[in-house]
Amino acid sequence: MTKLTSFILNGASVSTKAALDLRLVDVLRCEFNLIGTKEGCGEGECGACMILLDGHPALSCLMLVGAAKDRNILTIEGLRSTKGFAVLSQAFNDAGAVQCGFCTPGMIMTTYALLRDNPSPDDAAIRAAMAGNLCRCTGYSMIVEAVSLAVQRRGETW
Amino acid sequence: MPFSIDEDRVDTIGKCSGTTRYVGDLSFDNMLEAVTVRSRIRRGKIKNISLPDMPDGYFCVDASDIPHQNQVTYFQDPCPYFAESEVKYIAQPIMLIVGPDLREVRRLAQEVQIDYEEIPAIHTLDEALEGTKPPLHNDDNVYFKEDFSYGDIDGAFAESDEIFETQTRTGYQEHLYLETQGVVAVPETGKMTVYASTQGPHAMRNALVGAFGCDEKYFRIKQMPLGGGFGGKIESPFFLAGHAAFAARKCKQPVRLIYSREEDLLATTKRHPSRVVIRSALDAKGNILGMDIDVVFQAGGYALSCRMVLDTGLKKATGVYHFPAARVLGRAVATNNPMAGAYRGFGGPQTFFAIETHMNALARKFKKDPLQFKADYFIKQGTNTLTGGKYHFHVALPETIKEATRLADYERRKKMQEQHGPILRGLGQALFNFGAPFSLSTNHPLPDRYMGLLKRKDGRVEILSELVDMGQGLHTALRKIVARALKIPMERIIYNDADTDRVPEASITGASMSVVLFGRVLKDAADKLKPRLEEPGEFRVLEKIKQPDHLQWDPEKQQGDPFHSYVWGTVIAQVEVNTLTWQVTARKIWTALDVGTPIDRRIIKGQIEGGIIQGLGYSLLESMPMDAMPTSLADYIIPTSLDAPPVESALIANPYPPGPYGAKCVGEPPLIGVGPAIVDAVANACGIELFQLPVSPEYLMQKMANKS
Repeated sequence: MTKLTSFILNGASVSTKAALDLRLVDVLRCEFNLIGTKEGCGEGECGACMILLDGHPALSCLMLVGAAKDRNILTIEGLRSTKGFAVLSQAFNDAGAVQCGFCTPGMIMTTYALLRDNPSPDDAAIRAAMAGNLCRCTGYSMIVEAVSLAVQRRGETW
Repeated sequence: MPFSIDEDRVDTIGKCSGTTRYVGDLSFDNMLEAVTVRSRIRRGKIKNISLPDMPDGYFCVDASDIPHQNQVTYFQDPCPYFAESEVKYIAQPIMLIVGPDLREVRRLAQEVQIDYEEIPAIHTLDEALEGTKPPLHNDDNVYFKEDFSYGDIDGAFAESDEIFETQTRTGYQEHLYLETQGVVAVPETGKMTVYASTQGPHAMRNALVGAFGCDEKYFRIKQMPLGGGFGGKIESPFFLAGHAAFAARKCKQPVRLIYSREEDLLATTKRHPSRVVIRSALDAKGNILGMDIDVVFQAGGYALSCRMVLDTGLKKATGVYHFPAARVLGRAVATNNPMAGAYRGFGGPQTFFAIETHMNALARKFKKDPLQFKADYFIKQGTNTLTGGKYHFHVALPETIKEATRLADYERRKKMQEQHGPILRGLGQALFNFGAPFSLSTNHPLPDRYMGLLKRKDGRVEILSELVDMGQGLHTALRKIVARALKIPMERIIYNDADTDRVPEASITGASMSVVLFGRVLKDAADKLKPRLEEPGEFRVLEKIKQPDHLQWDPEKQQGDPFHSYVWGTVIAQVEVNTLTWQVTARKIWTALDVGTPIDRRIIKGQIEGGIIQGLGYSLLESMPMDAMPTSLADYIIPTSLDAPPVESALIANPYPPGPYGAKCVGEPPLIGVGPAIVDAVANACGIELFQLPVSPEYLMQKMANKS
């Protein structure tokens, strides 16, 4: 008997027949074709696969799909139509925070949750929140600047 | 002001929103997955291979599936795609397992049983030189040896009152691009297309042609957006492309080969570990009469590009100085370790760490201000290079020192390095230059190669070049140069990722040469297109790639100008040392760089800050013990946002006449001086001399224990 796993994905109810011990990142990428969630290490160290699980940053490479049952999952594909994403992506652009871009969707997911919970983080709070998202290109300061820019510009966006 | 506006990059929005497709995001009908079976030992003869029972649709691919030759022909020295009878390094590829389900493929690959007759392996460069193990290459394990000298070096040592010697060591550094290596090979009718994360699309095609013995038109390489490169996607991708193409040929289906992080850490190229001994001949007053530099780079089981990396590092080994006499000897040695290769800095980080650490230690020995002590030996315009060429253009080193010391408030801050509880503070500096491009090909005219522009019917202009934007912003910089030459808006200039069927062969992207050398070629093409811009229809303007006119090189004598242009720079670092844990934390880094005319300050800032933090990882965190190669990011630590201090930088405008609008380069230089500046800062904080990267708490604790 095939077991269905149902959850909310980017606002829509979905279910998958995927084996319960498949990793969530593989199901998102292969079955739902949500390729914006990247795999950088597969061991929860780099943050490229960051999603929001019931609103909180979570590493989809460390989650089995069974653990997603009845949860609310947001990926970059769900975020990108929001006004919050528009503010964040413009800020990342303006601060020069994007180079190779492989870490960027994960960075933006983390930033979105950070600014929702802490509307005016200082540099130290930003760096602490981003510490689970590795970037090899920028040296981080331009990403921190991007988040600060988004703090100034976000208004009541989210 | 030229180039006063920072232009937006066209790739940013796709990268933010996750719509950019990297190679691992591609999928094709009937696509199979491949996993590489690797040697678990460092060195031995393969006695027997037993495969597990293979389910339907699963099969293996090995050297017998290579149509023409089991050699990666890009390299001057032999290097096979798959080991046949012997393995020479841990993780050497032996075969692929291919099939529809990746988990099943991985399981089967794990179950391949390989029996070896082990041979004692050479683990370190010291073992390679000692000769206590059976030699791996010739009798002496030396892949490549080279030396340069000027002046009467033996006379200098004979006259000297004192000889001052340092020995510095550096370890492996992994590139750690966030996107692991990957390719997809797709067989088509009479053709095969390889989608790849590569810094050298045409070089990859040529390598495949060498292995297949086919016409070059058979292969088409489509370069996908790179999730980082740093030099690591020049050599390793040849292996992936070959492996996937052999498999695709065998099964007549698309084959995807994406490395796991574990595999990427273990098996791909890394920065060459080094040992550098510098001996200075000093007179009674402490003046340097001559310097003798002995450089050893540790290569792996095959040579790969160690000739070029060593050669480039050697030509930089005397740093920003000219002494009355100097001799530089270099050797690249064979070991049974994963292969070293190209990495941002290309030999320079190792030799600059050696020379700057030596000079800083000498200044401390004589209780002199290091910047004043060094200034007596500075290269100036017109000074000879190590190879008997000339520094043809203005040397802006003093300006970078002035600007960096101003930014850092160096003199005042230096006096404020007192202890606070268990925290020691220190300030350090290093000076560097960076000759680009890498030097070997300056001795010959370049092969007949072209790049150029396509004027399209719709009035837009496409840049026809295989140069790769691996995140560094190159396409934006080159579009900006062309737009300026054509006097049309940036939006009208198109630059697609490379497709070997559409753009001519030019070069791999590396060695910080793209703007300084090829930017000029594209500017010249644009100058030719300008008067024809209003002509109807579609046409190309191609420009031959050529070396700048001022270069002179005598290939017989190995004498002349080693590099086209030189970036000059100063880096200052402030550190804190916790005397309870011996952990070093960088608090701030300042740098001033002469990159010629800046083409885009925001992009340059990104290169400076990224390069400096990559250099910081090299200096403090990133370590690969030779006997226990890390296979996890939990063991190989790169800087996070909490490890990376703020970086303050300034640019010195010193236009380089042969460059496009006076531009030089910026990709590699910012990393070069970080290691010696950090070590100088720790040395000043702790009152000891340090000679090793990274400065791990264990190393520092040991040194401090010896001090007391």
